[in-house]
Amino acid sequence: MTMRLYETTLIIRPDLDEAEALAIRESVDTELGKAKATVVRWESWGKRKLAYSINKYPKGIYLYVMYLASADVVAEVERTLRINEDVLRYLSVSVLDNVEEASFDVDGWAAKRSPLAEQESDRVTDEVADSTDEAPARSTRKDEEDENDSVKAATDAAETDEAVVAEGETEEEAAQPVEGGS
Amino acid sequence: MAFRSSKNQGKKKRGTKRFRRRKLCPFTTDPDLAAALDYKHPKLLRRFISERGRIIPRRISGVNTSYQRKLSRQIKRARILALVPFTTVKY
Repeated sequence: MTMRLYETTLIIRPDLDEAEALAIRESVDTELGKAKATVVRWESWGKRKLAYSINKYPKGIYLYVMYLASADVVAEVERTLRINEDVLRYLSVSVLDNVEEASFDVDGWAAKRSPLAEQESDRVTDEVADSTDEAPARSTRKDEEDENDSVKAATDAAETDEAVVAEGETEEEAAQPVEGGS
Repeated sequence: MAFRSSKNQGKKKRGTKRFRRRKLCPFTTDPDLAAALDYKHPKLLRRFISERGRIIPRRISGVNTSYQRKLSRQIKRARILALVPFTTVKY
C-alpha cells in the first residue's frame, strides 16, 4: 500500500512542564497508533522565542513528529490538536508522496535531524526499525551525515553573506529611475 | 542590463550605460544551500527576508525563479510556525 511521509510541527504553551508536554505527545501517538501509522521520529526543539506572540505567549515549546500514514490520518491528528487548548499552533507538511511502506527506509529517516532539533529523539518504533536493518539502509544513513554537514556549512554561509543582501537594496534604489525612463 | 540593449538601440543613446554584473543565484551556485532550504531552517530564511519581515524580491537577491518560488513557500510555512515574522514593528 502506498503511503505518504508527513511531518507535523506543533507549538504548545510555554508554561507546560515536561509531563504535560509528554501527554500531548502521547495523544498524538495514540491517534497515529489507531490509524496504524508508522511513527518515524519525534523531535523536541525546546522552548523558543516566537517571531510574534501567539495567544499572548511570547515563547512556545516546539514539538515535531514525522510519520508514515495515509492522507486521512493527518486530518485526524489535526483534529486532536485543534481540540487541545494547550496547542497554540500546528503545521502538517507532506514530505514524500507515494511511499511504498515495505521498502521505506525507516531507519535512515529516523536518523535525520531538523536544524532546530536540540535533543535526541526517542524512538517509538523499535520493532519496525529492526526489521529494516539491511545494506541499503546503511548507505542512506551515510548520505544523511553528509547532508547534515552541508546544512551546517550553509548556515555559516548565511551568516557571512548578510552584508551582500543589504548592499543589493541600495543598488536597487539607484536603478529605479532608469527603468522608468526606458 | 544586458538583455535590454537590443530594445534600446533605436532610441537615442544615453551618456553612460549602466552595466551591472548579473547576480548569481545562491541556490544554483551552492547545492548545499539548496538542500538546506526548508521552513525548519529559519536561520537560512532570514537571509532572504528584509528587516521588516518582507520576502526580498529576486531582482535584488538574485535568486532563480524556481528557487524563489520554493523559498517563498518555505518562508510562508515558517511564518505560520512563528519561526520568522510576518511583519516587525519598528519604533
